[in-house]
Amino acid sequence: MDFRLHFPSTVEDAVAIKKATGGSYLAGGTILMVDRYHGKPVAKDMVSLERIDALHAIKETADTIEIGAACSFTQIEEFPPVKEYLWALYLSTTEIGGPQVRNRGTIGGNWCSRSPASDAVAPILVLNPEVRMVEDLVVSFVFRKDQALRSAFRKVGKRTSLAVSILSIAVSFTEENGKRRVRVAVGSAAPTVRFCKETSRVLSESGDIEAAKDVLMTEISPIDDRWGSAEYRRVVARGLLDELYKEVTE
Amino acid sequence: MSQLLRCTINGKSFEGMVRDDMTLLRFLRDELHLTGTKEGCGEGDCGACTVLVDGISVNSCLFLALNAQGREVLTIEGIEKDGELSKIQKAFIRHGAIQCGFCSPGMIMSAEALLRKHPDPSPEEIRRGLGGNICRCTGYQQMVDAIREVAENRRRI
Repeated sequence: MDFRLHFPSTVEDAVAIKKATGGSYLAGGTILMVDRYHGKPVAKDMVSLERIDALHAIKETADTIEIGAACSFTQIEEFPPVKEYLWALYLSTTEIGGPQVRNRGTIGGNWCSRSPASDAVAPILVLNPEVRMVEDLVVSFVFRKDQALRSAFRKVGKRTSLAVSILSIAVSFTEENGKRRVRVAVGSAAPTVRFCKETSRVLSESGDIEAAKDVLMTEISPIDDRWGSAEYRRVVARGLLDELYKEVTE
Repeated sequence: MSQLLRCTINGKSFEGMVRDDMTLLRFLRDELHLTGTKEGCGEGDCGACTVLVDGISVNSCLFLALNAQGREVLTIEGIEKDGELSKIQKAFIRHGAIQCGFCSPGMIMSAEALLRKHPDPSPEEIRRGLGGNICRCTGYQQMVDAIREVAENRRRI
């Protein structure tokens, strides 16, 4: 397999090269390079994001945490405000792959991967950041710092490291002016990571966890595959929703 | 399609044309004949190909060689000093952490990266730090003991 590798130094150059070549953006390579190894067709032009400093920056302001799309999971894990304000995201970044994968894998790559087993996606969905883009390039994730927001994440896999998630779930809870807002997202239980809108609504309005568990079953569509059965995933999803909801509302 | 790569490999400057699509693993083994770094799986799952780039451990099978531009690459061949094995290597041998030896280069590089970040790691931190490296022979306890010994000795100095 042969491809040309481009190294733009700005976002604008990256977007222009991709448009001109019809190629793919390449961040850490922990997905694209594996696809290539398996003989899947990859683009003839790779637009590397490696040398675009802005995409690798992570910063905190008075109200926000802005994470560049090409920030590695290790970078995110080691940025203290993430652990303080974005607990669900923090947990997911500490459990993806192993150290070598976390040193190269990026939040943007995970988000754009189109895999339902991408572990950072459910946390991102429940933490609800602004996703900044320039044309088709994800540039950064801007999370609001909310002292009142509690979040949690759990994934189930066959090993402690390098485990493809059998199921993952993220939940967030906040209360503002008496209005409760619960968000629930589930991974590895549908063709994409699912933001569970109705489950979120039931928990926000009534906090009825038993009703929410039943509604959750209508919002996910797990299958039997080599890692687990659909039935097992349903059981795990119910149990983890219960556990995480209690955790964020205690 | 090739580009000029300028980087440092085990302390020595390298400058030469490298194919765009060549992985660091293939570059090290095929171009530089540094065959200590192993291909165990080719897909970032086993860690046998682990090297350090600017002190950070990466799977060289997924890392494009041209991404080493302007950076320092450290492989298992660079761990020894003036022909003498490093403390980690010696401890691995003493504790029986090397059986078939295939995982060892990658495992030792991960151990090196771990100790640079956590000079006094707990057994749990060690296991987490080696979580990207698979060994089919030992059961890992020997590696934990070896790394604990190195950390202990560093503390006593």
